[in-house]
Amino acid sequence: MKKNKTLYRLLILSAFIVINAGVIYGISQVYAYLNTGADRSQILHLDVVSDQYYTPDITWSTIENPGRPLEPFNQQKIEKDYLDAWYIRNISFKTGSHHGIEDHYTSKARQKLYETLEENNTQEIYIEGTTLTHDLSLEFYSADGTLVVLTDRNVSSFQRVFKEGQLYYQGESVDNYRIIMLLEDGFWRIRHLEKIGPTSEITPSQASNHIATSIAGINYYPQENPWNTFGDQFDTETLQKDFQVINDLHLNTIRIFIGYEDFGNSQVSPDRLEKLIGLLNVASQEGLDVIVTLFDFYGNYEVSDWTRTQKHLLTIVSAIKDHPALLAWDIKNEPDLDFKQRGEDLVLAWLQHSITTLRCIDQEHPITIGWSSPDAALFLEKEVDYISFHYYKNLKNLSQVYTKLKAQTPKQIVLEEFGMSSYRGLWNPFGYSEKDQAQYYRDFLEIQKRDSLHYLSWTLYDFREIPNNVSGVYPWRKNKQAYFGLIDIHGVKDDAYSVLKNR
Amino acid sequence: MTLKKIHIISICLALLSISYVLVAFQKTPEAVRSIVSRLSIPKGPLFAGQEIRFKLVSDLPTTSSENGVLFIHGSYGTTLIEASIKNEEVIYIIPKTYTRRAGYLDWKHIQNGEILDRGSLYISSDTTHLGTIENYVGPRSINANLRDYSMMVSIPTDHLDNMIPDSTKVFLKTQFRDRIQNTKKLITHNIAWQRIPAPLMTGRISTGATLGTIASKERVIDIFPDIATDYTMDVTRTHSFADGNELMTFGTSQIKDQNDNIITDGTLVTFHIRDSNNRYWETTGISRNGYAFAKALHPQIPSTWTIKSSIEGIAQSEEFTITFLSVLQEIPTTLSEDGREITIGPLTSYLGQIIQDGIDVKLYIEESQEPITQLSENGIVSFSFPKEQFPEGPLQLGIETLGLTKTIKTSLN
Repeated sequence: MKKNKTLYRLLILSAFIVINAGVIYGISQVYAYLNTGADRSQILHLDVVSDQYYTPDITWSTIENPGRPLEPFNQQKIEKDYLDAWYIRNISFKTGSHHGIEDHYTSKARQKLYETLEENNTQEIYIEGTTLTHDLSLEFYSADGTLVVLTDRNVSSFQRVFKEGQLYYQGESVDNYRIIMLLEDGFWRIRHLEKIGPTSEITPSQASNHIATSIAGINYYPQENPWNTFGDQFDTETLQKDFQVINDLHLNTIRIFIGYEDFGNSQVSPDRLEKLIGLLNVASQEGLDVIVTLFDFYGNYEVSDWTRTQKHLLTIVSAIKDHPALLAWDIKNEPDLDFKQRGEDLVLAWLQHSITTLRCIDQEHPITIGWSSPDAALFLEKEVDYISFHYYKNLKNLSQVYTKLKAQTPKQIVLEEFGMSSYRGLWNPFGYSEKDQAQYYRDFLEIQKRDSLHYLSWTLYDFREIPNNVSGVYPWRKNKQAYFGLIDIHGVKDDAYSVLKNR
Repeated sequence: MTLKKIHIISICLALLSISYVLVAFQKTPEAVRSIVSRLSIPKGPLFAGQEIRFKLVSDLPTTSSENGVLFIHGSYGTTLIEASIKNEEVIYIIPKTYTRRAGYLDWKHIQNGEILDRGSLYISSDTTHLGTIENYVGPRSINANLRDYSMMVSIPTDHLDNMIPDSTKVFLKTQFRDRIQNTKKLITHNIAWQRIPAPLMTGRISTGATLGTIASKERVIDIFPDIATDYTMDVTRTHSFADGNELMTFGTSQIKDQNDNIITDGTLVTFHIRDSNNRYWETTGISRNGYAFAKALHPQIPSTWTIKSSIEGIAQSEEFTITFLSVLQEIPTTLSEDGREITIGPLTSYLGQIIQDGIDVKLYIEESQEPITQLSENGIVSFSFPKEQFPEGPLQLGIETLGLTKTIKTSLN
C-alpha cells in the first residue's frame, strides 16, 4: 500500500513536470511563430543573396553610342533587367501566369504579352523555353539615362512547345531583336521589342576530330576519396603516385569526372578549377592523357536550367581547353539512364546543345558521350567526334557488339568502361573471385588485340566507401561497386593487375 | 473589305524543292501524304493588322486533325495553330495578336513531329495609320551655360503600337522665348532624337515632335541660372557703438551668373565674421532676386569686425571691415557706508541714455579667477558682501563691463 502511494506520488509528480514542459514548449513555439516573418533588416533586401538563376552567355559588342557614355554600373543594371525580362517571359509562357511581367515590361508592352499568353492559355499551349546567348549592341542611351535602344543579335533560344500536354515541337533557333527600354521607378522595362530578322536554324556543328593515339586507359578515382577527386582530400602527391602506378601498367590515358554540383554549378568554384588544373599538370608530367567527363551527377535537364549548365560548361572548358594533358571531352556519363525519368527528347536536346556550345569554344578536342550500353551508343552519332559506350556484360558478346556497331558508324569507337567486381562476401557469396577477375582481363585483352579496341578499364582501386548517390544505399550494390579495382584496399595488387600490365 | 484583304494576301504555291521531296520520301510512310499537301504562303508586303492566312493545298481529302499544325514564332511569343476548314479549304489563320505586331514572324508546318516546311514573313508597321509619338525629354532642368544640354527622344508608333521603320522623317520642335526651331530628323534605330543646347538665358524650353498628322505631347525643360560669380557686400547699421543692443544688416549686391542671369532664389549665402580677438562665427541668409541678407547684433565690447561672405564652393565677396566704438569712458561706482555693498551704474549708452537691460557686469574679488556675473537692470548692478562670508577688513574689487575695467578698494566694517 505504502509502495503504491509512493508510486502514485512519483507518477503525479512526473506527469506534472511533463505537462508543464509541454505547455512551456507550446507557448515558446507560438511565441517563436509570432516572431517569424518580416524582419526590419530585410526591408531593403540587403541580406538576400540572389542565386544565379539565369545565366545566358551575354556579350556586349559595343556600347559606343551617340547619346551618352554608358557607365559600367548602369550597363550591369540594364543587362540584369533585360535578362530578367526574358526570364520572366520564359516562365510566363511555361506557366501561363502574368506574374512578374509588370516589373519588366511597360504597360503597353505588357498588354501585348498578355494577349499572346491568353491565346496560348485558351488552347492549353505551354512552352518550355530559354534563351542561351545574347549579343547586345547599344544603339542609343539618352542624356538623362532613362531610355536605351539595344540590338540583340544571335539570340539563340531553345523551345519545347506542348499542346494539351503533348510535345509538338522542340528546337533551337537564332533571332535578332531591336529593343527599347525605359527606366521606370528603378527598373529598366521593355517598351518595344521587335524581331528584326528571320529565324535562322542552328545547324549542328561538324564533328571532325579524331583520337590520334590508341587509347589504353583506366577510369580514375583516388582510393581514399572516390567520386570526390577534387574535395578536401585532394592531394597532388597521391595523384602523382597513382599516375606512376598507371604508367607501370603501361596505360596512356585516364578518365576523370567533374561533379556538376561539386564544382559549384553555374558559379564554378575557383578552388575546384585550380585543383582540376593541378590534376592535369600531374598527368602531363607523368605523360598521361586525360578524358574529362563533365556534368557528373547532373540530372535536371529542364530547359529553365540550361543557362546554368551552359555557364558551368563554358567556365570549365575555357579554363582547361589549352592544357596539353587534355585528350577529349565526355559530355556526360551514362545520360541514357536518365531517359526514362527525364524524357529521351529532352536529354538528347540538352546533350546536343551542350556539344554545340562546347564546340563553339573548343574545336581542337574530340567530344563524346559516355553511353551506358552499346544499345545507346548511336544516339547523337553525327554530333559526337567518337562513340563511347560502357560494357559490363558477358565478354563473349563484346566482339559481336563491337563489330555490329562498327558496321553502323564510320566513327572511332571507344570502350570507355568495362570491368569485373571481385566481391565475394556476405552480400554475394557466389560472386566472382580475384582469379575470375584476372581471367576476365585475360579474355578481354584477347578480344582487344583482335579487334584493336580503344579501352578504359574500371577502375584502378578497390574502394572502402562508396557514396550513396553512386549506386544507391543497398549494401549488395555498394559492395559490388567497391571491388572493381586492380589494387585492393590494402594496396595489394590483384592478379588482374599483372595480367593487364603484362599484356 | 474581306475580298480586298484576300486580294492583298495573294496566295501562291510554294514549290517544295525536289531534293526535299526526295529526302522526305525516304522517311516514314506517314510523311508521304504530307508531300502532297503544300502550304500556300501569303505573298507581297504585309502590314500590321492585316489578316494573314495560310492555305493547305492538298490532293487528298483532308480533316483538320491530320493536316498538322502551324508553329509560329514572333516578337511577343510562340504558339501553335490548328487548321480550320472553310468552304472545303484547309486554312491556318494567324491570330490577331501575332498579325498586329510588326517584325519577322517565323512559321513551321509540323506534322507528326516532322517539319514539312518552314519560312518567315515580314510584317511591316502600318505607316498609313499612325498612332502616337512618345516624346521623352531629359534632363528636365539644365543650367544656362555653354556646357549643359538636354535631349529629346521621340518614338513614333503606328496605331497598333509598332515602331516606325528607320529613315522616316520626323520633325522635332523646340521653342524658347520668341525663337522656334524646327529640325527634320530621320528615324534611326526606331527613334529620332536631338540634343538641345542650353540657352544662355533662364526660362523654359517647350518641345514637341510631329510625324505626318500625329504629334507628341508637350514636354518642357526649365533653364536655371548657371553658378554665381563673385559679388560685393556691405553692412547697414544705425550707429557704430558697441552697445550690445542694435541689429545691423549684412547684405550682398545682386548676385548673378556669368551671363547676367540672377541666381536662383533660395541660394544660401554665408557671412563669416572675425572680431579683433580672432573669434569666428557665421550667419547665413538665403537669396531672393539675387540679394541675400543676414542680421547680427552689435557687440557689447568695442571691436573691429572683418566680414566675408560666400556661396560655398562657388562664389565670394571681398572682406568688409567695421569698427565698434565704446559707449562709456569710465565705469561709475558707488560704495555704501559700511563698504559692504557696491553699486555699479548707472551705465549709460552713447547718447547718455540708460543702457538696455542685460549688459554683463563682472566682479572679481581679490583677483579671484572666477568672476561673479550679473546682468544690468535699468543700467544698475549691485553686489553685496555679507558679514557671514566676508570678515571685516580691506577688500580689493575688480569690475569689468562694456569693454572697460576698474579696480576699487573697499574697507568692510
